[in-house]
Amino acid sequence: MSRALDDRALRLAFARKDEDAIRRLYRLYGRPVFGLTLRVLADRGLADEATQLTFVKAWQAADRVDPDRPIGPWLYTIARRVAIDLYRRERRHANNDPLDREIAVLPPSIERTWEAWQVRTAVDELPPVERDIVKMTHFLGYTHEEAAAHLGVPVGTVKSRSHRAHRRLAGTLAHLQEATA
Amino acid sequence: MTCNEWRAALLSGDHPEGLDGHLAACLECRRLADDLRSAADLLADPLLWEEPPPDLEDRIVGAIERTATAPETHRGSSLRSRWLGLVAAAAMIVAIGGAWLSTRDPAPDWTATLTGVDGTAAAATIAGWNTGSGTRVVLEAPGLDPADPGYAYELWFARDGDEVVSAGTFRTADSVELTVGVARRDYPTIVVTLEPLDGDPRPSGVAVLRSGDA
Repeated sequence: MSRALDDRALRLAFARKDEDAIRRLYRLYGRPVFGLTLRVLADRGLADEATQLTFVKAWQAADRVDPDRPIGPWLYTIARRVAIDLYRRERRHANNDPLDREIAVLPPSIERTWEAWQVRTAVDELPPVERDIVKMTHFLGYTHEEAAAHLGVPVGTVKSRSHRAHRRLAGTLAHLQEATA
Repeated sequence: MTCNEWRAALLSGDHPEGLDGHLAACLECRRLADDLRSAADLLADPLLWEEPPPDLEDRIVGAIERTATAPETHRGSSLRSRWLGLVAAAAMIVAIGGAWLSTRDPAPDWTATLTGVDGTAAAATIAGWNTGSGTRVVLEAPGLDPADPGYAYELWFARDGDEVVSAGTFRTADSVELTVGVARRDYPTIVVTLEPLDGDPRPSGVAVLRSGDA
Protein backbone atom coordinates (compact mmCIF):
# COMPACT_ATOMS: atom_id res chain seq x y z
CA MET A 1 0.00 0.00 0.00
CA SER A 2 1.37 3.44 -0.84
CA ARG A 3 2.06 6.02 1.84
CA ALA A 4 -0.76 8.13 0.43
CA LEU A 5 -3.29 5.35 0.92
CA ASP A 6 -1.75 4.46 4.27
CA ASP A 7 -1.96 8.09 5.24
CA ARG A 8 -5.66 8.35 4.40
CA ALA A 9 -6.60 5.19 6.24
CA LEU A 10 -4.38 6.21 9.10
CA ARG A 11 -5.96 9.65 9.47
CA LEU A 12 -9.35 8.06 9.94
CA ALA A 13 -8.06 5.44 12.37
CA PHE A 14 -6.02 8.00 14.25
CA ALA A 15 -8.92 10.42 14.62
CA ARG A 16 -10.98 7.54 16.02
CA LYS A 17 -8.06 6.70 18.33
CA ASP A 18 -8.04 3.10 17.15
CA GLU A 19 -5.72 1.04 19.30
CA ASP A 20 -3.21 0.20 16.60
CA ALA A 21 -3.23 3.66 14.99
CA ILE A 22 -0.34 4.97 17.06
CA ARG A 23 1.80 1.98 16.10
CA ARG A 24 0.94 2.49 12.42
CA LEU A 25 1.76 6.18 12.71
CA TYR A 26 5.06 5.37 14.39
CA ARG A 27 6.01 2.81 11.76
CA LEU A 28 5.37 5.33 9.01
CA TYR A 29 6.89 8.37 10.65
CA GLY A 30 9.01 7.23 13.62
CA ARG A 31 12.24 7.44 11.63
CA PRO A 32 11.60 10.92 10.21
CA VAL A 33 10.57 12.19 13.67
CA PHE A 34 13.64 10.70 15.32
CA GLY A 35 15.85 12.01 12.52
CA LEU A 36 14.41 15.51 12.79
CA THR A 37 14.78 15.69 16.54
CA LEU A 38 18.30 14.25 16.41
CA ARG A 39 19.23 16.81 13.76
CA VAL A 40 17.98 19.63 16.00
CA LEU A 41 19.17 18.33 19.38
CA ALA A 42 22.36 16.48 18.34
CA ASP A 43 21.88 13.97 21.15
CA ARG A 44 20.28 10.54 20.85
CA GLY A 45 18.91 10.62 24.41
CA LEU A 46 17.21 13.96 23.85
CA ALA A 47 15.98 12.83 20.42
CA ASP A 48 14.49 9.76 22.10
CA GLU A 49 12.68 12.01 24.61
CA ALA A 50 11.53 14.38 21.87
CA THR A 51 10.23 11.54 19.71
CA GLN A 52 8.20 10.17 22.61
CA LEU A 53 6.80 13.62 23.37
CA THR A 54 5.92 14.18 19.73
CA PHE A 55 3.82 11.04 19.47
CA VAL A 56 2.18 11.60 22.84
CA LYS A 57 1.23 15.15 21.84
CA ALA A 58 0.00 13.91 18.47
CA TRP A 59 -2.17 11.31 20.16
CA GLN A 60 -3.59 13.86 22.58
CA ALA A 61 -4.47 16.07 19.61
CA ALA A 62 -5.76 13.23 17.42
CA ASP A 63 -9.32 14.52 17.39
CA ARG A 64 -8.05 17.71 15.76
CA VAL A 65 -6.38 15.98 12.80
CA ASP A 66 -7.64 17.57 9.61
CA PRO A 67 -9.15 14.65 7.66
CA ASP A 68 -8.55 16.37 4.34
CA ARG A 69 -4.82 16.94 4.72
CA PRO A 70 -1.82 14.61 4.89
CA ILE A 71 -0.83 13.66 8.39
CA GLY A 72 2.93 13.90 7.79
CA PRO A 73 3.26 17.71 7.69
CA TRP A 74 1.03 17.97 10.76
CA LEU A 75 3.26 15.56 12.66
CA TYR A 76 6.32 17.42 11.38
CA THR A 77 5.13 20.69 12.93
CA ILE A 78 4.59 18.97 16.26
CA ALA A 79 8.02 17.31 16.18
CA ARG A 80 9.75 20.53 15.20
CA ARG A 81 8.12 22.48 17.99
CA VAL A 82 8.92 19.79 20.55
CA ALA A 83 12.55 19.72 19.41
CA ILE A 84 12.85 23.51 19.63
CA ASP A 85 11.30 23.52 23.11
CA LEU A 86 13.75 20.86 24.31
CA TYR A 87 16.63 22.69 22.66
CA ARG A 88 15.71 25.87 24.54
CA ARG A 89 15.25 23.95 27.78
CA GLU A 90 18.71 22.42 27.44
CA ARG A 91 20.19 25.83 26.66
CA ARG A 92 18.62 27.31 29.75
CA HIS A 93 20.05 24.54 31.89
CA ALA A 94 23.45 24.72 30.25
CA ASN A 95 23.61 28.50 30.67
CA ASN A 96 22.01 28.39 34.13
CA ASP A 97 19.68 31.09 32.86
CA PRO A 98 16.12 30.54 34.10
CA LEU A 99 15.08 33.86 32.62
CA ASP A 100 15.57 32.49 29.12
CA ARG A 101 17.00 35.75 27.88
CA GLU A 102 17.89 34.17 24.58
CA ILE A 103 14.30 33.50 23.74
CA ALA A 104 14.83 34.14 20.03
CA VAL A 105 17.64 31.62 19.65
CA LEU A 106 16.83 28.82 17.24
CA PRO A 107 18.83 25.62 16.87
CA PRO A 108 21.51 26.10 14.20
CA SER A 109 20.43 22.94 12.42
CA ILE A 110 16.76 23.88 12.06
CA GLU A 111 16.98 25.08 8.47
CA ARG A 112 16.96 21.81 6.56
CA THR A 113 14.66 19.79 8.79
CA TRP A 114 11.68 19.82 6.41
CA GLU A 115 13.85 18.86 3.47
CA ALA A 116 15.48 16.06 5.46
CA TRP A 117 12.03 14.91 6.60
CA GLN A 118 10.88 14.66 2.99
CA VAL A 119 13.98 12.76 1.88
CA ARG A 120 13.76 10.35 4.79
CA THR A 121 10.09 9.61 4.20
CA ALA A 122 10.81 9.07 0.50
CA VAL A 123 13.64 6.66 1.36
CA ASP A 124 11.39 4.78 3.79
CA GLU A 125 8.84 4.25 1.03
CA LEU A 126 11.35 2.29 -1.05
CA PRO A 127 11.26 -1.50 -1.03
CA PRO A 128 13.98 -2.74 1.36
CA VAL A 129 16.25 -4.12 -1.37
CA GLU A 130 16.23 -0.75 -3.12
CA ARG A 131 16.69 1.18 0.11
CA ASP A 132 19.77 -0.93 0.89
CA ILE A 133 21.31 -0.01 -2.47
CA VAL A 134 20.65 3.70 -1.94
CA LYS A 135 22.22 3.53 1.51
CA MET A 136 25.25 1.64 0.25
CA THR A 137 25.93 3.94 -2.67
CA HIS A 138 25.16 7.29 -1.07
CA PHE A 139 25.96 6.88 2.62
CA LEU A 140 28.57 4.12 2.62
CA GLY A 141 30.10 5.23 -0.67
CA TYR A 142 30.07 1.79 -2.31
CA THR A 143 30.46 1.45 -6.04
CA HIS A 144 27.96 -0.77 -7.82
CA GLU A 145 30.59 -3.49 -7.95
CA GLU A 146 31.28 -3.25 -4.21
CA ALA A 147 27.56 -3.31 -3.43
CA ALA A 148 27.15 -6.36 -5.66
CA ALA A 149 30.00 -8.14 -3.89
CA HIS A 150 28.59 -7.21 -0.48
CA LEU A 151 25.12 -8.45 -1.36
CA GLY A 152 26.26 -11.45 -3.39
CA VAL A 153 24.22 -10.48 -6.44
CA PRO A 154 25.27 -9.62 -10.02
CA VAL A 155 26.33 -6.04 -10.74
CA GLY A 156 23.47 -5.77 -13.23
CA THR A 157 21.00 -6.47 -10.43
CA VAL A 158 22.50 -3.69 -8.32
CA LYS A 159 22.35 -1.28 -11.26
CA SER A 160 18.74 -2.08 -12.05
CA ARG A 161 17.73 -1.79 -8.37
CA SER A 162 19.60 1.49 -8.11
CA HIS A 163 17.92 2.79 -11.26
CA ARG A 164 14.46 1.85 -9.99
CA ALA A 165 15.17 3.29 -6.55
CA HIS A 166 16.30 6.63 -7.90
CA ARG A 167 13.35 6.84 -10.27
CA ARG A 168 11.01 6.23 -7.32
CA LEU A 169 12.83 8.79 -5.17
CA ALA A 170 12.78 11.35 -7.97
CA GLY A 171 9.06 10.82 -8.47
CA THR A 172 8.26 11.11 -4.77
CA LEU A 173 10.47 14.12 -4.12
CA ALA A 174 9.35 15.98 -7.24
CA HIS A 175 5.74 15.36 -6.26
CA LEU A 176 6.41 16.70 -2.76
CA GLN A 177 8.17 19.76 -4.12
CA GLU A 178 5.33 20.46 -6.52
CA ALA A 179 2.78 19.98 -3.74
CA THR A 180 4.53 22.49 -1.49
CA ALA A 181 5.56 24.95 -4.23
CA MET B 1 15.22 11.41 -21.76
CA THR B 2 12.08 11.88 -19.67
CA CYS B 3 11.82 14.27 -16.76
CA ASN B 4 11.80 11.42 -14.26
CA GLU B 5 14.88 9.82 -15.84
CA TRP B 6 16.68 13.13 -15.71
CA ARG B 7 15.70 13.69 -12.09
CA ALA B 8 16.72 10.16 -11.12
CA ALA B 9 20.10 10.65 -12.80
CA LEU B 10 20.63 13.90 -10.93
CA LEU B 11 19.79 12.21 -7.63
CA SER B 12 22.01 9.21 -8.27
CA GLY B 13 24.97 11.29 -9.41
CA ASP B 14 25.04 9.62 -12.83
CA HIS B 15 25.76 11.72 -15.88
CA PRO B 16 24.20 9.91 -18.82
CA GLU B 17 24.18 11.35 -22.30
CA GLY B 18 21.48 13.95 -22.72
CA LEU B 19 21.54 15.19 -19.12
CA ASP B 20 22.55 18.74 -19.99
CA GLY B 21 20.34 18.87 -23.06
CA HIS B 22 17.25 17.99 -21.05
CA LEU B 23 18.02 20.64 -18.46
CA ALA B 24 18.32 23.29 -21.14
CA ALA B 25 14.96 22.33 -22.61
CA CYS B 26 12.86 21.67 -19.49
CA LEU B 27 11.75 24.55 -17.31
CA GLU B 28 10.17 22.30 -14.66
CA CYS B 29 13.34 20.27 -14.19
CA ARG B 30 15.39 23.45 -13.98
CA ARG B 31 13.06 24.59 -11.21
CA LEU B 32 13.55 21.32 -9.30
CA ALA B 33 17.28 20.95 -9.96
CA ASP B 34 18.55 22.69 -6.83
CA ASP B 35 16.14 20.81 -4.58
CA LEU B 36 17.18 17.49 -6.08
CA ARG B 37 20.88 18.28 -5.74
CA SER B 38 20.21 19.20 -2.12
CA ALA B 39 18.30 15.93 -1.65
CA ALA B 40 21.27 14.04 -3.11
CA ASP B 41 23.52 15.73 -0.54
CA LEU B 42 21.15 14.65 2.22
CA LEU B 43 21.28 11.04 1.03
CA ALA B 44 24.98 11.08 1.89
CA ASP B 45 24.36 12.65 5.31
CA PRO B 46 24.88 10.12 8.16
CA LEU B 47 22.08 11.80 10.16
CA LEU B 48 19.57 10.84 7.50
CA TRP B 49 20.24 7.16 8.13
CA GLU B 50 20.08 7.22 11.92
CA GLU B 51 17.67 4.66 13.33
CA PRO B 52 15.65 5.14 16.53
CA PRO B 53 16.17 2.63 19.37
CA PRO B 54 14.30 -0.60 18.63
CA ASP B 55 12.24 -0.40 21.83
CA LEU B 56 11.07 3.17 21.25
CA GLU B 57 7.77 2.15 19.65
CA ASP B 58 6.79 0.10 22.71
CA ARG B 59 7.84 2.86 25.09
CA ILE B 60 5.73 5.39 23.17
CA VAL B 61 2.71 3.12 23.23
CA GLY B 62 3.26 2.60 26.96
CA ALA B 63 3.51 6.35 27.56
CA ILE B 64 0.30 6.94 25.64
CA GLU B 65 -1.52 4.25 27.58
CA ARG B 66 -0.42 5.90 30.79
CA THR B 67 -1.53 9.36 29.65
CA ALA B 68 -4.82 7.90 28.43
CA THR B 69 -5.52 6.54 31.89
CA ALA B 70 -4.15 9.37 33.99
CA PRO B 71 -6.49 12.16 32.86
CA GLU B 72 -9.56 10.04 33.64
CA THR B 73 -8.34 9.42 37.15
CA HIS B 74 -7.39 13.04 37.57
CA ARG B 75 -10.65 14.27 36.12
CA GLY B 76 -12.63 11.98 38.36
CA SER B 77 -10.93 13.11 41.53
CA SER B 78 -10.97 16.69 40.36
CA LEU B 79 -14.68 16.65 39.71
CA ARG B 80 -15.39 14.96 43.00
CA SER B 81 -13.35 17.44 44.94
CA ARG B 82 -14.75 20.33 42.93
CA TRP B 83 -18.20 19.22 44.04
CA LEU B 84 -17.07 19.09 47.65
CA GLY B 85 -15.51 22.48 47.15
CA LEU B 86 -18.77 23.85 45.83
CA VAL B 87 -20.62 22.61 48.84
CA ALA B 88 -18.06 23.74 51.36
CA ALA B 89 -16.74 26.96 49.97
CA ALA B 90 -18.80 28.36 47.14
CA ALA B 91 -17.79 31.92 47.85
CA MET B 92 -14.14 31.06 47.48
CA ILE B 93 -14.75 29.43 44.13
CA VAL B 94 -16.32 32.62 42.86
CA ALA B 95 -13.33 34.54 44.11
CA ILE B 96 -10.59 32.58 42.41
CA GLY B 97 -12.16 30.66 39.61
CA GLY B 98 -12.30 27.25 41.13
CA ALA B 99 -10.09 24.78 39.31
CA TRP B 100 -7.15 24.75 41.63
CA LEU B 101 -9.22 25.12 44.76
CA SER B 102 -10.29 21.53 44.80
CA THR B 103 -7.17 19.79 43.55
CA ARG B 104 -4.16 18.62 45.45
CA ASP B 105 -2.68 22.13 45.18
CA PRO B 106 -2.51 24.56 48.07
CA ALA B 107 -4.16 27.94 47.62
CA PRO B 108 -2.46 29.93 44.88
CA ASP B 109 -0.14 32.80 45.71
CA TRP B 110 -2.03 35.03 43.29
CA THR B 111 -4.90 34.94 40.83
CA ALA B 112 -5.83 37.17 37.92
CA THR B 113 -8.44 37.57 35.24
CA LEU B 114 -7.48 37.82 31.59
CA THR B 115 -9.85 39.57 29.22
CA GLY B 116 -10.24 39.16 25.47
CA VAL B 117 -8.23 41.40 23.16
CA ASP B 118 -9.34 42.71 19.77
CA GLY B 119 -12.71 41.04 19.69
CA THR B 120 -11.76 37.75 21.37
CA ALA B 121 -14.93 36.79 23.15
CA ALA B 122 -13.30 34.51 25.73
CA ALA B 123 -12.01 35.43 29.12
CA ALA B 124 -9.75 33.45 31.41
CA THR B 125 -8.71 33.01 34.98
CA ILE B 126 -5.17 32.25 35.99
CA ALA B 127 -3.71 31.17 39.31
CA GLY B 128 -0.03 31.24 40.18
CA TRP B 129 2.19 29.52 42.70
CA ASN B 130 5.61 30.98 43.41
CA THR B 131 8.26 28.28 43.33
CA GLY B 132 11.96 28.30 44.08
CA SER B 133 12.79 28.51 40.39
CA GLY B 134 9.97 30.72 39.13
CA THR B 135 6.21 30.35 38.88
CA ARG B 136 3.74 27.58 38.17
CA VAL B 137 0.43 28.69 36.72
CA VAL B 138 -2.91 27.11 35.89
CA LEU B 139 -4.82 28.89 33.15
CA GLU B 140 -8.51 28.23 32.58
CA ALA B 141 -10.12 29.63 29.45
CA PRO B 142 -12.92 27.24 28.55
CA GLY B 143 -14.44 29.73 26.10
CA LEU B 144 -11.27 30.00 24.03
CA ASP B 145 -11.61 28.09 20.75
CA PRO B 146 -8.97 25.38 20.18
CA ALA B 147 -6.08 26.71 18.13
CA ASP B 148 -6.39 25.86 14.44
CA PRO B 149 -4.05 23.24 12.96
CA GLY B 150 -0.67 24.86 12.46
CA TYR B 151 -1.17 27.26 15.36
CA ALA B 152 -0.85 27.19 19.14
CA TYR B 153 -1.51 29.59 21.95
CA GLU B 154 1.45 30.80 23.96
CA LEU B 155 1.39 32.36 27.42
CA TRP B 156 3.88 35.12 28.20
CA PHE B 157 4.98 36.98 31.30
CA ALA B 158 5.69 40.54 30.20
CA ARG B 159 7.02 43.82 31.51
CA ASP B 160 7.91 47.20 30.14
CA GLY B 161 5.77 46.67 27.10
CA ASP B 162 7.91 44.32 25.07
CA GLU B 163 10.14 42.30 27.40
CA VAL B 164 8.60 38.84 27.54
CA VAL B 165 9.31 35.35 28.85
CA SER B 166 7.37 32.38 27.53
CA ALA B 167 5.62 30.02 29.91
CA GLY B 168 4.86 27.55 27.12
CA THR B 169 2.36 26.70 24.42
CA PHE B 170 -1.00 24.96 24.36
CA ARG B 171 -3.79 24.17 21.92
CA THR B 172 -6.80 24.13 24.22
CA ALA B 173 -7.22 25.92 27.49
CA ASP B 174 -10.00 24.31 29.48
CA SER B 175 -7.31 23.89 32.12
CA VAL B 176 -3.64 24.08 31.26
CA GLU B 177 -0.68 24.03 33.63
CA LEU B 178 2.54 25.78 32.70
CA THR B 179 5.77 26.81 34.39
CA VAL B 180 7.98 29.81 33.83
CA GLY B 181 11.35 30.77 35.27
CA VAL B 182 10.37 34.26 36.45
CA ALA B 183 8.15 35.75 39.15
CA ARG B 184 5.03 37.77 38.46
CA ARG B 185 6.22 40.59 40.69
CA ASP B 186 8.99 41.11 38.11
CA TYR B 187 6.79 40.47 35.06
CA PRO B 188 3.40 41.84 36.08
CA THR B 189 1.50 41.49 32.80
CA ILE B 190 0.28 38.18 31.44
CA VAL B 191 -0.53 37.85 27.75
CA VAL B 192 -1.76 34.94 25.64
CA THR B 193 -0.90 35.14 21.95
CA LEU B 194 -1.80 33.02 18.95
CA GLU B 195 1.38 31.66 17.36
CA PRO B 196 1.95 30.00 14.01
CA LEU B 197 3.93 26.76 14.44
CA ASP B 198 6.75 28.09 12.31
CA GLY B 199 9.61 27.54 14.71
CA ASP B 200 10.01 31.23 15.42
CA PRO B 201 10.09 31.55 19.21
CA ARG B 202 9.36 35.28 19.24
CA PRO B 203 5.83 36.51 19.98
CA SER B 204 3.67 36.88 16.91
CA GLY B 205 2.08 40.04 18.24
CA VAL B 206 -1.41 38.55 17.90
CA ALA B 207 -2.65 38.86 21.49
CA VAL B 208 -5.93 37.16 22.35
CA LEU B 209 -6.01 37.52 26.16
CA ARG B 210 -4.35 40.00 28.48
CA SER B 211 -4.29 40.65 32.22
CA GLY B 212 -4.01 43.96 33.98
CA ASP B 213 -0.73 44.58 35.78
CA ALA B 214 -0.20 42.92 39.14
